[in-house]
Amino acid sequence: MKLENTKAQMRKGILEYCILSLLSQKEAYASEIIQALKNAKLLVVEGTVYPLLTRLKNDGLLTYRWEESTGGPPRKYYLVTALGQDFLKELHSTWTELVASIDKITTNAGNL
Amino acid sequence: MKKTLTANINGIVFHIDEDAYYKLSRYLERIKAHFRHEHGGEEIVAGIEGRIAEMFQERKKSHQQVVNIEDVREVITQLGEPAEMSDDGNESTGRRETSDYSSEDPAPKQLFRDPDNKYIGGVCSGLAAYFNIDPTWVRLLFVLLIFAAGSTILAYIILWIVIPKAITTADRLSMRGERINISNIEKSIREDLRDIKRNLEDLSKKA
Repeated sequence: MKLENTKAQMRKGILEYCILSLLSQKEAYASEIIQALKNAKLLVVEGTVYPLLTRLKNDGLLTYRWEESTGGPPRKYYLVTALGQDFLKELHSTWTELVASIDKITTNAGNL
Repeated sequence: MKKTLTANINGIVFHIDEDAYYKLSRYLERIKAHFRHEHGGEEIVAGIEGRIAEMFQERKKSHQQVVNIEDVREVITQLGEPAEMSDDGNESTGRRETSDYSSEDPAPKQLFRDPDNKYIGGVCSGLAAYFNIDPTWVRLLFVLLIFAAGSTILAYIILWIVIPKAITTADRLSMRGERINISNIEKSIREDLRDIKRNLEDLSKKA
């Protein structure tokens, strides 16, 4: 098993949660989302974000509106729908549970 | 001196070196092929194109007017190859890709005789390509069957007559179950050229 592979899989699963979480705080367009994820070292290649955004939108968790930008074509600003907010709440509690469980397993690995 | 082309990316006009243009258009072709069958694929491609335009604009501010191959290379590294972008958590498509050349759906396969990989008529290698197995196993099976029943030879001859030979590049692609698109044809032609080159080298060594 390659460590890089496992890491990539983990990151991909978490990205969805992070994108929803980011957008629930403030609507943003793709490049801002990319920048935020890059700052948090969650992104290896930027292209990953686009299929993910489209899927979240198609699943009704996100929606978007067009906004004019200065000196460029209009930008697509994404925001979380009501369905997305509920979904995010679910994800958040799942994540908290997961972190607690993993913490337990990894710190007590010796005491089976 | 270099020839430059103009490209319209997401509504913005860029001057771009010829080599850079072809590299970029091949990259976009790969992305399009990759997301073609995905729900909202066009949107994904449009988003990526928008990002590329943005990156080029940034670059234009900092150094020069013309987009060069280095810029394109950098953009590709930053955005990644389509296989790296794949949204693996997607159950609705659920298919994986082995390389960025193969498309998500298996292309319709056709049975051909393989003239590039033959001992007698290319029947065994054609069958092997059709069933996606190593031709050696098919040949071995035929040889064993000949020992078991001599009529296998007759069967081989009938197959030889009945199965068409893969002549064109398109035939060879559908023999291997690869999609007939520009990047696959290009790949196939490159392979042919490599073979020709190798043969020529062999010849020159012998001479």
